[in-house]
Amino acid sequence: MAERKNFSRYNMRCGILIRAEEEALHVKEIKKPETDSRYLFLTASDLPGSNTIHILDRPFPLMASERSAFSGEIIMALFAPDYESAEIMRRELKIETEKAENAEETAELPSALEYGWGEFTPQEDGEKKYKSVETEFRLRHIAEPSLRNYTVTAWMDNANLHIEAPCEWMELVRSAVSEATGYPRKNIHVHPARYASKHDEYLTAPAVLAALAATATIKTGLPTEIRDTAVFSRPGIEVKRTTLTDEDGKPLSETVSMSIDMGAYPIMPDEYQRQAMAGLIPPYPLKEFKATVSVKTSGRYPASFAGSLGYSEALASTEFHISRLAEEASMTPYQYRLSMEKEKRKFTDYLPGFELEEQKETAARAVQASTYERKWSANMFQKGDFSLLGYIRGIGMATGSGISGFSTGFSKKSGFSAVMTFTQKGNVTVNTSALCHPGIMRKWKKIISDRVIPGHPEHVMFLDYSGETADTGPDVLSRITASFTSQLDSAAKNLAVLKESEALPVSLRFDAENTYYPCEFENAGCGTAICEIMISESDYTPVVTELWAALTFPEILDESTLLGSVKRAFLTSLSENGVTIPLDFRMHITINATGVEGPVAAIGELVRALTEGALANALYQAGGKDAAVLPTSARNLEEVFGKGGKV
Amino acid sequence: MKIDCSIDGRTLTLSLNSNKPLSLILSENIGDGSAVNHCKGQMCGLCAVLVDGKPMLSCMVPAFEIRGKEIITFEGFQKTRGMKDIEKAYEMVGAAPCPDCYESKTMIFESLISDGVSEPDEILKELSIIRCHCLDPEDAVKIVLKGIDIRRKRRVRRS
Repeated sequence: MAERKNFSRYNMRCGILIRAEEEALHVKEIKKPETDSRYLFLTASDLPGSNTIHILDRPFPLMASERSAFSGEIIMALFAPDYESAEIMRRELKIETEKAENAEETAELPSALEYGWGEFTPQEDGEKKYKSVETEFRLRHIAEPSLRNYTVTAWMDNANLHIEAPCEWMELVRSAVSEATGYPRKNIHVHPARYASKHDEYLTAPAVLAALAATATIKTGLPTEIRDTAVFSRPGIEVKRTTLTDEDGKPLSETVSMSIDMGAYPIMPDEYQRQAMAGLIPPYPLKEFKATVSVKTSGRYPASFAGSLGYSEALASTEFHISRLAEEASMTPYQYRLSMEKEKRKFTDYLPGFELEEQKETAARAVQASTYERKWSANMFQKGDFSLLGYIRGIGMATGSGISGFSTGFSKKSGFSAVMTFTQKGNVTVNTSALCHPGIMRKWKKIISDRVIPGHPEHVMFLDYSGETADTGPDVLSRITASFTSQLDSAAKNLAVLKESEALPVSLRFDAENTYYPCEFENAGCGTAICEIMISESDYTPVVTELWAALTFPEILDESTLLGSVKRAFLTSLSENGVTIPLDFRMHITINATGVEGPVAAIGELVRALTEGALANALYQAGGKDAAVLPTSARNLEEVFGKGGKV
Repeated sequence: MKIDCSIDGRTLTLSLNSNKPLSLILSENIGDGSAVNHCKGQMCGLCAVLVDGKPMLSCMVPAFEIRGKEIITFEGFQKTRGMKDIEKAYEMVGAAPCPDCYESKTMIFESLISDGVSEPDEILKELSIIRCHCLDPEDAVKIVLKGIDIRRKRRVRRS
């Protein structure tokens, strides 16, 4: 494969993107300045192939053709000899737009996903007293540019088209380039660039940029580079939940409806519904449960995975509701859990009936370390008053178990796989598109060599990306680090047997996902987080003062790396939810291992759920239901508290 | 205008606009694109370099200010013994910055370690120019203290 050439910047084109400033804008006219051949303007009509790429069979437009569906949609790409010239030329460009009257339906949506069990009819004998507890959990839509710029480069090498991009799904880049340019897939070579994606922002955007850069390369015959900032976009979520409890606060029946605003073009809405449903099912027993998850579109920036695909957000909403049930039953949330949750969780189509002992143990650890119950009770006396001290406090708790990867239903359809071969020379080659993490690949080589050729990790080779590379699927939800690692291990085990009995070379194609479960997901790891916040009366800035967390995982390969990842995930999740992290912020995290062989949780998903749940509960305690909207902000809290400093 | 400066030990005479930010000079004129970011003044903090030994955000340093100055970027710094001290400190503390801010935070750690800053508040204040919250403040202080210790021991051994 041709390596990336060291291009002279004088011999390449640099691209910038011109985006719509508002949603639903009709592009009336684009007046391009007179330019020489060093400049190139690309609009939707200039693409040799299609303006629409497909992400798992769902259409996603590269550029707005006549009207923009969302604010930030690409209207035009402008290429120049350098970025400064491109910026100067952008000033000469005149784009006339007008507000379109009606919002356009952008995508077909799956019907609402429903799940439930049992039936409960309240007795009307007058003896039984029932209470109804209603909550609303809201997460606002976020679309924020990430801090770091990234570049996508395209160049030609004879008949081959090369793309270098940081991407979480290389096959998507190749198919996007092929769809946009009409270039044969086998001649498109993708070179993965290193990236750190905290919010899965490199899932779709690099594919779009690659398609545009490739088109410019084909048109100019020169190497082309586009520099851009990826956008972290989380869907807006609203969960309404009503629980009917008996007079002791024991839940009897529950109805949940979750609505997800996925922006202009939903990505994997079906899978989002399944993951969300898994998080909505509460851990306490119920006689009747009914849940509905529906997806809608809007003129907002299309939501990407944002580190989770609905499970974290749904679990956070469940945790938020449990705390309200506890308050209604006049108990602390921790005591309420101990009294209401059974030893084992109910088996459902989405999660198995696993023991809750470990989860309760993590809760006990975190509660003890934080003196949660004392603080919770003390804070309850505030009654929304800033008192003489001029600040208000809140402490929140969330607990839950993690999942990783895609659902069984999705895995069966997707067919993401990899191929492992034992060659005649005694080497092992792995054909996979998961080539972006050199650190993990070193670990994989060791795992495979231990099984097949002990002591020779250097004889394990990962094939470079080419037209024949097996599609292992996107690097999201810790699939590559968790599910795929265990799949590689089990494939190596099988290959070690096959190489003794079959003629060489012997190959084995295996699924990228973990084994298929009887439920949609398998639980993996669990934890509890407690966080304390403080809101000052002078500026209403929500400040997180301390965080305690206790986590348990099936097995721990490297404790300090795991602790680092967990801390980082907590900090990222706290800051994306709007709280200020002060310089003297302290985290107290303990991690245990059960030692049992099992699936590894997506750390990000679990931590995100615990942070969002704990934070929403802390905000609720400090300022009531209107304050418990994430991401929070000083402005939002100022509106909630008003000028009098009272809720 | 023509500007003489030293970047990563190389003495250069650059011909450029006097107000071009150092971050763009590094990524476009010098070809140091891997280490510096250019957020167009959004204060991401991912473009820290050492200018005469002091950490600065290169997007805030116009070209005319680098005249006669010695600039060290992460590209140049990572080949030095100083980098090995910091890597060792990361390993011993069991924490390191995320890949997004690794270069920038490492440059700030280097300036704190070489100045022997051990006051936690001062360390955290210096690090607060980077918006990325990937590192536990307690770990950040530990890294600097460990780095100072490692460097002191190395110098004692050498003398």
